Amino acid sequence: MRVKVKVYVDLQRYNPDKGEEFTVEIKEGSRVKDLMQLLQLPEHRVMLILKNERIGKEEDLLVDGDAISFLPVVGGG
Amino acid sequence: MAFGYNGKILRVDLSTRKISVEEPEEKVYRRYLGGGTLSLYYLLRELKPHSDPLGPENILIFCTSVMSGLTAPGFNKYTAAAKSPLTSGFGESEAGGWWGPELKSAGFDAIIIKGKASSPVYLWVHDDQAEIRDASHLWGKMTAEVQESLRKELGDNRIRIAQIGPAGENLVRYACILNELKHVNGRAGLGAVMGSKKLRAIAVRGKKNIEVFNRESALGIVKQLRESYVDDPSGLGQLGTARVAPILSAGGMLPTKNFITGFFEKAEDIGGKRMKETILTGRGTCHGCFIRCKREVKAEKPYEVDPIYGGPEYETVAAIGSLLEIGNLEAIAKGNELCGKYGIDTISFGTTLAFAMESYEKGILTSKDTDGLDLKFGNHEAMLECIERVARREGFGDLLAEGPEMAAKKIGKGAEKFALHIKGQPLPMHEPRGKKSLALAYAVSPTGADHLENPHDPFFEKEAGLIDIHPLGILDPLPSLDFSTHKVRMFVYLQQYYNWLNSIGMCIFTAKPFGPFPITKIVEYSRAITGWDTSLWEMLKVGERFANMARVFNLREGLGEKDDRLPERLHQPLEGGVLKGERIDPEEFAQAREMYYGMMGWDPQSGVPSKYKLEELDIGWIVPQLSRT
Repeated sequence: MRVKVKVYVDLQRYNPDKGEEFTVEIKEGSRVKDLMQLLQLPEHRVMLILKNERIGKEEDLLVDGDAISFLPVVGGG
Repeated sequence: MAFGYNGKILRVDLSTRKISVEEPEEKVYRRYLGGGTLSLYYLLRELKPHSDPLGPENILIFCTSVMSGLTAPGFNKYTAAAKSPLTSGFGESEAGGWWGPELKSAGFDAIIIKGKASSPVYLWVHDDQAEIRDASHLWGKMTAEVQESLRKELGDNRIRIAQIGPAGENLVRYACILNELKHVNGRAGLGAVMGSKKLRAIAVRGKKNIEVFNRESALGIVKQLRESYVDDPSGLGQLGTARVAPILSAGGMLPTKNFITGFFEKAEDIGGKRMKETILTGRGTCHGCFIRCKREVKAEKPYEVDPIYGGPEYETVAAIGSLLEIGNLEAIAKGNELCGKYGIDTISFGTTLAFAMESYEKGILTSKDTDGLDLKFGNHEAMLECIERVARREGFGDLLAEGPEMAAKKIGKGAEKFALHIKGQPLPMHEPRGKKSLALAYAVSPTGADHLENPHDPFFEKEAGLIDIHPLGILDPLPSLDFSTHKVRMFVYLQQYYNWLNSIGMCIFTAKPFGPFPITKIVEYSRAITGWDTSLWEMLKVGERFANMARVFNLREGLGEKDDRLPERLHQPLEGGVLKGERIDPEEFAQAREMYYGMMGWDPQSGVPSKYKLEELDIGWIVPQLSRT
């Protein structure tokens, strides 16, 4: 299946050749945490996961066509 | 022998034109380090309670630290401190740049200014000397013009200048102090205090090298840091602080439309990435720092922007952008430039104007009150016009120049509920409903709503995110929305950490968890610089000392438990964004605040420090001041 991914600025360094928005092929039955592993996103650098514009969790199951955004930790200043 | 500092404090009385030098003993430096803590040491001793913040009796202090001016990244901040005309309590604000390090090279660690000049003056500090000089020819001029004139007049292009603009002269309650036109002591209205003393600028120049205890060890630490900092890990250098605007909006935490919602549909348009793609012409930095997070922007007509004033930070793109529903980056950059020219704090101005725009939307203010200005949200022309009118205190601008608390009182008709401030200090651009420790931080900060009391909750949600703060003894991750006793404890520890960083004039973007400097390395660096056999324990005690001294300062002025509150809006649910429905539960907040007071060694109900706590912190000398509260 294919999922649409958006990674915000600070997290793009883990996939520098992919840019900000891209599509990923991932096997059926995968969860958000599998996607994070595939993209090598460290969990403590991710502040929030959005799944189809709502707050998502690492345990959420993915389905074909999902749009997943990863927001980096920002903490003031 | 003093290492890391000069051992000299410059004293200036503008009323009598007397200048003197004090040489405090080493123990004073070691107990108070610098910044807000050393400033409070003097303010608590010498400022009479209930003084008029804009009267000659107020004392304005510019204070570096035992560490500032060194070659490591981030040790360039100085604090400006006084009684605040916005809060009537302790006012302080830090600025980076080059002015603080230059003051130390000129031979002084701090300047204490009293009295009021009979006509406009500036102070010229250089090579262990100081003189008060006439500034009549500078009064009323824009900041860039004043900087150029002073450098020409004093014959040196490398002179560093901290100054107010016309807004400070006109006592706008949130006027700021700027150095190099773009590094700003923004908060607490200290520009108005400087203006009330008729002190337009402080020019500094020095050639002195600061003696360091163990130069080799200090340089080794800096080298290690430089090597550990690769590829701009947070994007801060490439995209600046404004890169976070779209992130916060997507996360439902970008203050938008006077904090009604946390989502702004034009957030991408005002973020750091868009800035880089459009108006960015260069990156700036502060003394000794390799991160280079400062912006320089240039725009053409109709919003011609001069890069000499730098470029907007995150706080600015939110305060005069999303908060007002303005998504035009060129207009925001123009607003930033105008605030720099006139010397206005962009945060306070934005929050004040958001208050006015909501009052206008609700019909409490009409175009009759606003001199015909159409104050609807999103009107960037009106935003730019208001900056000019505020700076000149002209018509409706005169009302806005008072800040949201006082303006709301004058307007009445229920306008208070749209005035988002704490203790009179307008809210900065972070959303406590999405990160609960910030609700406590805003409420108990001695300077009123302040976003730099602690690093915010999202850093500490996962085990791996805690590694940076393990030396503080914080071992358990917590969700951002948690507001339990554990969150309060985490806040107490982090607040004392940041109080220490403020005391040594260290930029938070260079220290963990933001930047490359690990907590224990800062201690190691302090040992190398000062030669003191010091420790994290001793340093955090300075942080705690600051919290207690600032608390006593405020209690003397009549600010206490009743003022440690949130604006009602933050107890209401967010109306939009992914955190829609989130609010600060009043009962949870009250419990957290009580827990905070108790953990600090203060009375859990009244928030008054116990004499035992003050004695424990070796500031027993302020115990008698508690009886005056």
